[in-house]
Amino acid sequence: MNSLWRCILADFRQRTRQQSFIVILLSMSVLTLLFFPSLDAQYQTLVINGYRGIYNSAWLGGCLAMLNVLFLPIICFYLIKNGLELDRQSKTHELIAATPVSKVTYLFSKWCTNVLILVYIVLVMLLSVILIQLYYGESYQINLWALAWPQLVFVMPMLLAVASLAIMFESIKWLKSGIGNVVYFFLWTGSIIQSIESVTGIGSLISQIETEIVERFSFQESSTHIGVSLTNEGDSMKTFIWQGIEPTSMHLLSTVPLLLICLICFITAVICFDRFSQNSLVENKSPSWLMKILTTQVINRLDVFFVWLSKPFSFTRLLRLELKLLLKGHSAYWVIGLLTLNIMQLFISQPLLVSIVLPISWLWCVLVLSQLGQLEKQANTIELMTYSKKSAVLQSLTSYSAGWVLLLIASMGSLVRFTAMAEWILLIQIIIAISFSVSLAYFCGAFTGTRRTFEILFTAIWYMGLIQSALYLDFFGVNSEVSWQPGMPYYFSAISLSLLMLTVRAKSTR
Amino acid sequence: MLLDIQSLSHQYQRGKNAKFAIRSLSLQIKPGILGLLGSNGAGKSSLMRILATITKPSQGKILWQGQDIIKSPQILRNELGYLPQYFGVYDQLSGVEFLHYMASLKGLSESVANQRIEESLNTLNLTHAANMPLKGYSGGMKQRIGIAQALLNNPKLLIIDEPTVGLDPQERANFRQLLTELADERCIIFSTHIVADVESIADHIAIMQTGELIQSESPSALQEKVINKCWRLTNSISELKQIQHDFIVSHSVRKDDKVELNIVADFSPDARAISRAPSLEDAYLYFTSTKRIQADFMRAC
Repeated sequence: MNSLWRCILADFRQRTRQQSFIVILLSMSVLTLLFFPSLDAQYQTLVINGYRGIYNSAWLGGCLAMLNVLFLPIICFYLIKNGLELDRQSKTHELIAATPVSKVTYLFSKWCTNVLILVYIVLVMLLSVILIQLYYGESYQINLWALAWPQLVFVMPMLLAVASLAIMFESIKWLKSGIGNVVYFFLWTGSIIQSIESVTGIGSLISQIETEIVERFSFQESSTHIGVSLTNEGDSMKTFIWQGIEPTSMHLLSTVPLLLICLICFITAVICFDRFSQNSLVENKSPSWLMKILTTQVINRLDVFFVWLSKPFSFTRLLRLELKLLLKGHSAYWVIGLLTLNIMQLFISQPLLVSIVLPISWLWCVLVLSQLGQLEKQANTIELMTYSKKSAVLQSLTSYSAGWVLLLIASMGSLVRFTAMAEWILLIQIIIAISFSVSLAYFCGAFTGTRRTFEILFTAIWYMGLIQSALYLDFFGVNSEVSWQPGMPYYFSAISLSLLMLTVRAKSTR
Repeated sequence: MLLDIQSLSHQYQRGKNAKFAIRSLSLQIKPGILGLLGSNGAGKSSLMRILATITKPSQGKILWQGQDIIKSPQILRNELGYLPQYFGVYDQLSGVEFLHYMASLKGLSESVANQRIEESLNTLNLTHAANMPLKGYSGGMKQRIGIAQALLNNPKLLIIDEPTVGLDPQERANFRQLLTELADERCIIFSTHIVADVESIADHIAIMQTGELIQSESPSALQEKVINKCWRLTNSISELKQIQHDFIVSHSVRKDDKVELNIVADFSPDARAISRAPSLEDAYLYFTSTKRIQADFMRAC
């Protein structure tokens, strides 16, 4: 037991003594502060029939639990899905593999560390909530139990499950990379968000508040809004005193499914974890005729053409090599997928092209694009690059341009089609979308040094902006008119330029 | 105490271009120091990883005290100390914290861990830096922490892969001394391509080339095999390149406008060459160099 505690403690210290962890804690604290706006703020987050509870411990505790249940699974999963990866990256994995520690003990210690980190985050959020209560002063009576029990009953089981899911994703070979990040995002948006509301039991808390408001203020039916809703001037938010509820056995029972998910994921992780063994035996199959044609006839010939094309200028020569660096190591099936999407762009109906196929073509490139800005760190060539003859600005611009070329290739079908149809506005929108995507990739890679940030952020913005048409995140302008009216393309152009300038500046001061 | 490697092979690519890291290697390792020599890519690190139970071999058996460790790796892991060629540390932890972590993974109790950590830090001259974060350690200090973690569980089998990389001459000498002291009661496998590191301390030498074991003898027996093949020749500098091209030159010292060369060859390379006593490096170069074959061919011509 003592050994296990030592393992957990060492892992916890290693992961929390980083500066980035402080940034995470501060961000979560800020998120909490934003979730509880003042009465006269221009937005509200939890409104039921125009009412919200006064900021007393019961209301704040309940609302914090709702916030955590909705958003912690997506935020925290990506925060902790690196426990095993850190051991690989830090090259301690071989030392660990040669010790007698069992798979169960090792993974259990990692799971415990994940849980500890998540609890740490929730504690910081709880502390922020206490400060919020004192700051707004709608009630000065701090009731720790009322603040804490919703976290224990509704949030804690979910954290245990997320910690287990992260370990499982890291143990399954094909899920531990960028694909896993994208898969989890869609898993969360597609099903987890629904099931969390019912599985965690938070739904029962919301319906109890709704019933109380309906009964107390004689409404016909309840109308609940959770999330950011803008308030009109003149509309005054009404408050009421909610005394809260006490946890019941039903609440506790509702945690059983999540605990089961936690257990199943952990068992799957133990089964799939390779214990850092290196037994991979590469099957040296001869490539299929399709692959042969693709590599020898298409890619190699294209490269010869690019060599000829890029010869005259050092910028273009470097650009070709940067593009090659980005594309190296990706499966030929990825190239076939890109070609197929391009062909579809030529023939599919325009509404489908704009709302589905073109966005999918960009998402198809997310795992390639995420290499931008951090390749030197990944390949440990920063020092080699630093004393190279080429200026840092030139290197940055070629790297950035390589991302541009990649997305231009991914959108080639649409570019051809819109040019032929003289759809100049759509062409401009594509260019803005490409600028934004590449700038964001470059910025995330350069400042965080990992691929994960862009993979998660882009997928989230892509889903909410392009698929769910959230105006402020729609960097392409799926609904062109709606997007141009408030001038969104101008905002995204400005953001792209700012991100690029910040990144180039950071790179040039290396 | 015996590690018995029987017909071990490890294949890392199947199919038309099958590639082997190790081919039919058999070796018995007894208490003492085994110096495992071989050029880069000879298969030393692959063998080390297999012996450290990290990689499962494609074929063959490894018996530790008569028990098959491929089937039951846990038997060996309890008695194993391993330092890989490339390893990392948790750089946010201090030396002591990291060693405590490793001791926990090795299943040591708190009191034993405390005692072993203190001893290791003392032995490796790291006591002054024990509470410093590892990110502030120099390359040599990190290497010594690596050695310390390998010794924590007082291992019966100690596998160390290129351990002297990053150590300064004094640290290397200390490390060799430490290994000599440890060797009495355990099997130590010391892999390196720097012959001088094992020359004075190894009880047995195994030489690997392209995945195969080509020699396995005591250092003196290996030197005896090349006793009539070692020559000293003083020549002009202008001819140095040609001689290096034709023969194995194990050492060269410049003296004014001449150069004194230690040559290993089956026959006298020049009428002026004089016979000399062989070193382990001569033997290693003789058995691993392709020039021996070329020289034989030239002589036949």
